[in-house]
Amino acid sequence: MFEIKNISKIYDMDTDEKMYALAGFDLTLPDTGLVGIIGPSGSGKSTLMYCISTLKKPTEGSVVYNGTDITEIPDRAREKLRRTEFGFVFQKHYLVPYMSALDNVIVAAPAGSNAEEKAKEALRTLGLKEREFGKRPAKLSGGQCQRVAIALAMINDPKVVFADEPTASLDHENAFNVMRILKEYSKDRLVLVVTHDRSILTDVDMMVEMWDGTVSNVTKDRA
Amino acid sequence: MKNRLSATKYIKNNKRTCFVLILALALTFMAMYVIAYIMSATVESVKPITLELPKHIALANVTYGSLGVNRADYPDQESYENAGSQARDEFCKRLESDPDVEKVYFIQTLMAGYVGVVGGVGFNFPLVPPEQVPEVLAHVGAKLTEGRLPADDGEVLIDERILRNGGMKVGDWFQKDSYGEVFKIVGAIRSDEMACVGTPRGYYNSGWFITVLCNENSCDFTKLAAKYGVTPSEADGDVIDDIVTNRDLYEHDVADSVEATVAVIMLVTMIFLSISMIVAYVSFMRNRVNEYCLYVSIGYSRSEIYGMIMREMMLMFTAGILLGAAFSVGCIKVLEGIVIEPKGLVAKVFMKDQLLRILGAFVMIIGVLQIPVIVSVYKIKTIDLIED
Repeated sequence: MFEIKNISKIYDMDTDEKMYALAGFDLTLPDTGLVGIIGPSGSGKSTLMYCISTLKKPTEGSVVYNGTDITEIPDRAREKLRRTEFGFVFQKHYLVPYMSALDNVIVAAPAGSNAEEKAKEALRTLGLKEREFGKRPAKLSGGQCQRVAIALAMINDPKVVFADEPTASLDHENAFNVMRILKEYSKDRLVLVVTHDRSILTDVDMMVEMWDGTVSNVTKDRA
Repeated sequence: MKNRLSATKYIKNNKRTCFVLILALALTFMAMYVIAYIMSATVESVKPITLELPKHIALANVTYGSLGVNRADYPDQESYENAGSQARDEFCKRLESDPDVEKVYFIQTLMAGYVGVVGGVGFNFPLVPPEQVPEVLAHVGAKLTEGRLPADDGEVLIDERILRNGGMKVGDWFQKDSYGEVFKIVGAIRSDEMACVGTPRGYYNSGWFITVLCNENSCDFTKLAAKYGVTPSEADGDVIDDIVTNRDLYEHDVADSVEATVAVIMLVTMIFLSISMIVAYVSFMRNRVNEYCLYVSIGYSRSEIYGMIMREMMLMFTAGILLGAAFSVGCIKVLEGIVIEPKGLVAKVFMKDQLLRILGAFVMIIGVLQIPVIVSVYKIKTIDLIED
């Protein structure tokens, strides 16, 4: 699904002290499965995920998605890709504070779809109770918010879900619940999880280890 | 792809914040409209006196010189006065022969004051012998609504609205503060022109005037006089109080000054509203940066977010305008009851021009608000940039 070729991302390009967040490497990701990208802080794992998901443009190299180099496509096409084929779970949930849990999920749904039913179903599957659907993020626990964020990421039935430290603000139990949900979703889709916490990646299909802006190790079929 | 960025969700879920904004718009609308309404009370109220009454009664004080009688041609003052008086009487007869003139008197007049909400006007009305009162009333189409016709010297019939305006009633002394206990109000009359008439008493007056009971064809005194060989001119000391001078008074001293006042008030209101709306909108959108970043990150374009902000803005402006219109109607009803009606004034309730001006002002404010909106939309980042 993804073929990453000679990807590099350099910050502070105009200064003498260029900072290589990604130092030029190749990587191929499968069509389905749970892929963990792990590494210490500053290793470039989040930058890699954002480059793959079109939120960032790499300085060099290409990201080929289903045969198209998505680093070269126009903004409109990138937005469409993010709206229709990609889903995002961010480290902080970034839910809209004035909207209910349900509305927060619906906002990402494609227009014309039976969004409310789908959103309810997603929230139910993720373990939220009906009475919590109408609550605003401030009235939900961190774990509940993160589950709403996952439902938001999945409402448009994306082919790829990008999750950046999705369990960072969760306790151990909630963290494993979230990972279980992502694992379930990855059965017929691709889920990329970026984390520095190795303990949550026990069930991944592929592990990409990063160090200092490059891939130090790739392990497949771990599950 | 259609989007789900609803304009109503923010408004529904932030009722207090949005209501404050809508209320500010509504109060601005109301202020702009009600001020124009109050000012219109001055303009509309004096319309009958300045634009209608002079179509029926024209007054002029023409000097002997303008009538062709010069002091130098006479040995003494008395013979000069006699010649002048005779020339004036002959001139009056010539005017009366005009097919568009009903009557011409050389009589005393009395000034009635009429005070609007802002400023006011004074106008002269004829003092005629009691037997001539009915013909003046008939000429201006006035009906006696209370009291009786004057039967003696120093009795006046006053228009109902002028009575209310001056806080007078039948039986009172007319404008006692100005004239003392000289002219008794013996009746109230009603006419579209707000005409008044009375009988003289001694030499209490606001001047002697050639008083022409005219119609629309003969109400321009200068033109009428010219037909009969007299060319009155203010430069020569002639005083003309006809449709031309009154129209000029209405257009320049009343309508234009009121118009200018309303325009200044609107401009000041608009400047303050624009500034406060920009400040409100900047903070409004600053509070929603993360929301906009989320939308961009999950694939909404900046133009879709701009569209949502504009739809929210349009909804709030529409609500503000509707609420402002409702407030204005309420406020006008109250003002009508406590100021306009009791003061015998007339005001325009539906002012299409003012409505268009207010809508234009609101459109301009929406235009000004594009600055903070476009700047904010341009500044939207994706979440990865926030987290960097």
